[in-house]
Amino acid sequence: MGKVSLPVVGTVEITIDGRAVRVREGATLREACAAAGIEIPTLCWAETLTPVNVCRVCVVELAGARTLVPSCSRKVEAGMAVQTDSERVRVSRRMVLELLASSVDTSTAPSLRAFVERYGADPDRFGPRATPAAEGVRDAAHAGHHAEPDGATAATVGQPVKVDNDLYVRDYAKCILCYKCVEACGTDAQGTFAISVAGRGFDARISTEHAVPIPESACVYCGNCIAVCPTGALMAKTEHDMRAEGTWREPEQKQTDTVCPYCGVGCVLRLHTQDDQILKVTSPVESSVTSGNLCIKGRFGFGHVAGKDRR
Amino acid sequence: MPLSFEGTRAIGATLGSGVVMVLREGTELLPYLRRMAAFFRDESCGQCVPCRVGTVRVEELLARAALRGPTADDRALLSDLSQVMRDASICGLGQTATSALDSAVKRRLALVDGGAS
Repeated sequence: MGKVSLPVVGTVEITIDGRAVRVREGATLREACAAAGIEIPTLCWAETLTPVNVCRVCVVELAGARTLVPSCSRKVEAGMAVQTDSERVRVSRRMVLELLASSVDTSTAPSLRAFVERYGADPDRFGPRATPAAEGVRDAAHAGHHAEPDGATAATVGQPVKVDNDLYVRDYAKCILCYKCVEACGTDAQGTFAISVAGRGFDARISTEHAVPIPESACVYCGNCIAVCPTGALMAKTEHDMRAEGTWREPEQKQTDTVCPYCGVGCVLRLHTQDDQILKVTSPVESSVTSGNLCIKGRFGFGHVAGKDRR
Repeated sequence: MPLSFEGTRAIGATLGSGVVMVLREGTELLPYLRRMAAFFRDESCGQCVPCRVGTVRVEELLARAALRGPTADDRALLSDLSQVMRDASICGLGQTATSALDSAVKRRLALVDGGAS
């Protein structure tokens, strides 16, 4: 047999918290830390999405660097020495969490709340929260203009929930602007580009083109944005309505994996059931078929299962 | 002092866009600092959390100090805000947004107990 030459994947040695670690060339600092058994908190990072390094909760201290560096996107280089839990790192993580938790509604964001707890963040130190904006006000914000703060309250992204279609709601009072939905809708999964970030600064927000309602937008209702949203800002309408009426009882819910019956692709469906009723369908992010993505039929087309006319 | 990168660095400042503001001695600084805070809040692109929310919290802090007089809590909060913005913002705008304010507080020209600012 002829000699097969395989591409050589190099490795580099770096130091993490004083320990020498050898990792694959091209790996990120976050991956290197994970390989060394050090879990780095992340909010805007996801295995299936391109790192945008905007939340800044994953920052680590790199020797010789003027600022902290985002471990989710910074690639390893030979000889790097990083601290993952120095005082500087802890202050920045705590502050990022205080800034986020003081400006958004975290009631359906368990991972964010856990980080707030872990880093001892105090979101109330900026004062009482300002009254939420009326409907449409944040969508109409004009870049470069803002009302002077009153000195008594802390601004939030509070606003009414957007309910403009039967399948999902957009509760942007809970949005941390992690860009995950934008990436899932666009280049990283669906290729639909129905949403993007509009506006600037604190007025930046996720929006359809010209802020039109979802049915008038390019949305194809795949729900892949809901799947990646870390705060429940995007939520299936069924779940949103049941939470509102107090009938959503997550601890009682069962999860059953099956295969989607609609077409031949064979997407893995994870059925979330309560009292023997399907309430939500997701797909495991580990699935090699879906990477967590589905289409409108797989994610939302389950109503017929419990249809009253079904014989 | 030469108006150069080296010259400004030597006195612990940065050249920025080369602007020199001349104020009469004894001028109340808080209104200027509030104007700068409002500027940075407007100019933040909103991509990263430290700058997007930090610039808002700095402007609010100064409004609070103007309303009821500054406290030690205000200075502690500013110190934390400055640190996360300097250390964890993506770009130079957020990293330097509090520079003038930090310098004023360090020289006890703003957020001084009992002062109007």
